[in-house]
Amino acid sequence: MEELIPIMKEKIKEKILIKEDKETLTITLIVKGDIFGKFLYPDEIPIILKLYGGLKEDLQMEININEKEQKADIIFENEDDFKKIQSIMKNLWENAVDMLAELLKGKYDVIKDVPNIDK
Amino acid sequence: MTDSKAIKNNPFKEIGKIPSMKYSSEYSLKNFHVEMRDGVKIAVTLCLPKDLGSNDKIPALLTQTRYWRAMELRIPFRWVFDEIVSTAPNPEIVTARGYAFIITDVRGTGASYGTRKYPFSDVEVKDGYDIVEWIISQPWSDGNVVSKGISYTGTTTELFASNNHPAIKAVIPGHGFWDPYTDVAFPGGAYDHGFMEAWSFLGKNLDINNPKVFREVMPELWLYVRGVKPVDADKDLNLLNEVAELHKSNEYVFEHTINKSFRDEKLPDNTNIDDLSVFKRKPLIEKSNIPILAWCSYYDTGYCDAIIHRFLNYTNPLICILGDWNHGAALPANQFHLDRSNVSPSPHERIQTWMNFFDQCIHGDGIQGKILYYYTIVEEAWKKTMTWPPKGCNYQKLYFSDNFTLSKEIPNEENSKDDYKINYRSSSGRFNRWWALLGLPIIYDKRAKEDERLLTYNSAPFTEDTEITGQIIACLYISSTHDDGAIFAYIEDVDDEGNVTYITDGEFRVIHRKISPNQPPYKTLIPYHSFLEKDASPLIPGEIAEIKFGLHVTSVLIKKGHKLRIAIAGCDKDTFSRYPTEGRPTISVYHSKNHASYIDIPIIQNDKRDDK
Repeated sequence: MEELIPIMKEKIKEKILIKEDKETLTITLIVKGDIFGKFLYPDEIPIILKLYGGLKEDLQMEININEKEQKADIIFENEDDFKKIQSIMKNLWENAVDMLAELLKGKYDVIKDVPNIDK
Repeated sequence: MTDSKAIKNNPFKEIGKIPSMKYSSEYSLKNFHVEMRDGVKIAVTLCLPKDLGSNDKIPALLTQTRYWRAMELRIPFRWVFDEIVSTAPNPEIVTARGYAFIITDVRGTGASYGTRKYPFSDVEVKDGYDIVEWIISQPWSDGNVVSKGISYTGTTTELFASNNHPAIKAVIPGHGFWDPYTDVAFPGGAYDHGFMEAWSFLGKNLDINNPKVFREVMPELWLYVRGVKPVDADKDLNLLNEVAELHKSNEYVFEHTINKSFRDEKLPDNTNIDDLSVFKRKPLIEKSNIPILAWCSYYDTGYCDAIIHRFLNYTNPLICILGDWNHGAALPANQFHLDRSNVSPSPHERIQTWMNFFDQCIHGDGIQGKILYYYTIVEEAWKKTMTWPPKGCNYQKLYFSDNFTLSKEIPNEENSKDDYKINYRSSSGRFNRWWALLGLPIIYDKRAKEDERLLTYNSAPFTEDTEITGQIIACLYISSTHDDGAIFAYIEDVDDEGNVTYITDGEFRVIHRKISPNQPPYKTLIPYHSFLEKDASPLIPGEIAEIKFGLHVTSVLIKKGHKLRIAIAGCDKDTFSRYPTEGRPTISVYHSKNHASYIDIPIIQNDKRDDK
């Protein structure tokens, strides 16, 4: 798995496009090319924001998923929340891979502050 | 890990040659249900070479697991890698060699329907037959099926052969048990509480599709795994939720074994632990005459001994391999080289060797007879033998003696003994051979410190390099203040600077001490204890009893000037149940003329080996 870390970062960078619209407080996520299985489950965005992004609280957001186009609009109710997630999104994918790399080295502290995200 | 420079007799260099690839490394992937004879639907992941021609016919490699056949990854990993990215072997190696790769969730697990009361049931085994029927009915199938697996999947692989389906051409069980009572659940009759509880907990959570369990036990997996992979048609996860609900009525081995002691105590459906075993299905497996390649490590639970028992008992064409890695060979485990970071052979080299074996069995001349490849630690050399014990093996007794020594001479004293009050803080840690089943590293690096709590006896320095290969027998004459107890005997190498290195160990609950005069259920080279309730023989406090048992197989070179040590404990607190449950016995270990405790060591005269 360790040998896949740099490949993961590169592939993720190539595949994921993030667009932001301050006017509508919308962050749009687009995944290009073929993917393996389902594009997105409705509960996934809040989970990964907590898991990889360090988000502690539950924010109000509307998530519209277009499975066919591999596109999701995340719409926020207020600007503060929008900005918070905008900032998290900048390093979210890189964080995910870095956390995995740390865990593979046995450095389990990287997940100690992750709140309960499981059912 | 083995030394990659050890070429001679190396099975990973000798078993076949890697042919040019038949297909590109790309493969297609499908997830679906296949219906069994009783209507239960089994979840299947099928990988085929992407460039498979419409008229091409290929064999299939099947793995049947209880640990999720494929995983639904969390994003962003799911967007980049397929759901079996962490599957071993990686499917592309299999499909490029011209095989379909099929992984199933056994009934009652993963995305499969059905429920289970215990593992490796006859019903579960029979599903293998139905899956073969489905495979050979596929347009891409050439009618040949092989199977491989490690640990649980190693056992499903071996039991797969018992189906006697003519399409099954070869199996490779890796790191699996032969006798679940002695190899994993009750080694020497002592209950492996630590692993059995952890394994049941893990299974229970996997079966209800709860990845939360990974956060504690495998956090790296938890980070990128969302759950078991649903079948492709299950877009809204209704089927997955349905099977998870169904699996809530599964039963788990910990609940069924925690309060048991004996081999013949009942499990559900009026079965006992032997009904889950490989040895009991031996006649069916032999009837198939399917070629078997079985492999394991000296450091893995009692599964190392399972290799010896296969070699001694099977009539099938057989290749056995014993190396020095951890459970499943993801990590090196040679205790004399804890600095090594990479396992040898690499997982890639290993799977190519396995595919060579399958090619030989399907497209080549198959294999004949039996051969056992074994690696000698410290000498760092592979050897092979057609007989076990290997030619040139002679047992040498070392007697417990005064001043905590081991001597070749029988003691002469009348009543010599050493008293030892059991220290219930004794532990071989959580990186021992038993916890290794969770895929953990195997590290016995603090033996010198641990030995301070134990009763130890050292030999004189060896006068020449000496190879020990086989199962050491311990014969202890002890008395105790209590009627129950357990002996944990560690064999260690002590170098001329006093560094202590773990070699092997053995454990034994004393109430099972009766050596049975009956025929054992399979051939074994160690004292036969039935572990049956009727043979239970509690100690009579103050009375001397003989406790004779086999230790786990090893092959190691003791260098000139090094000493051999036996360190005796009365518990292994982080792994095994405590015997007796209350009180703190004092045992006396006798080394007198009439009660001469000893260890019997299989020493190899190397000039008599048949692979020279």
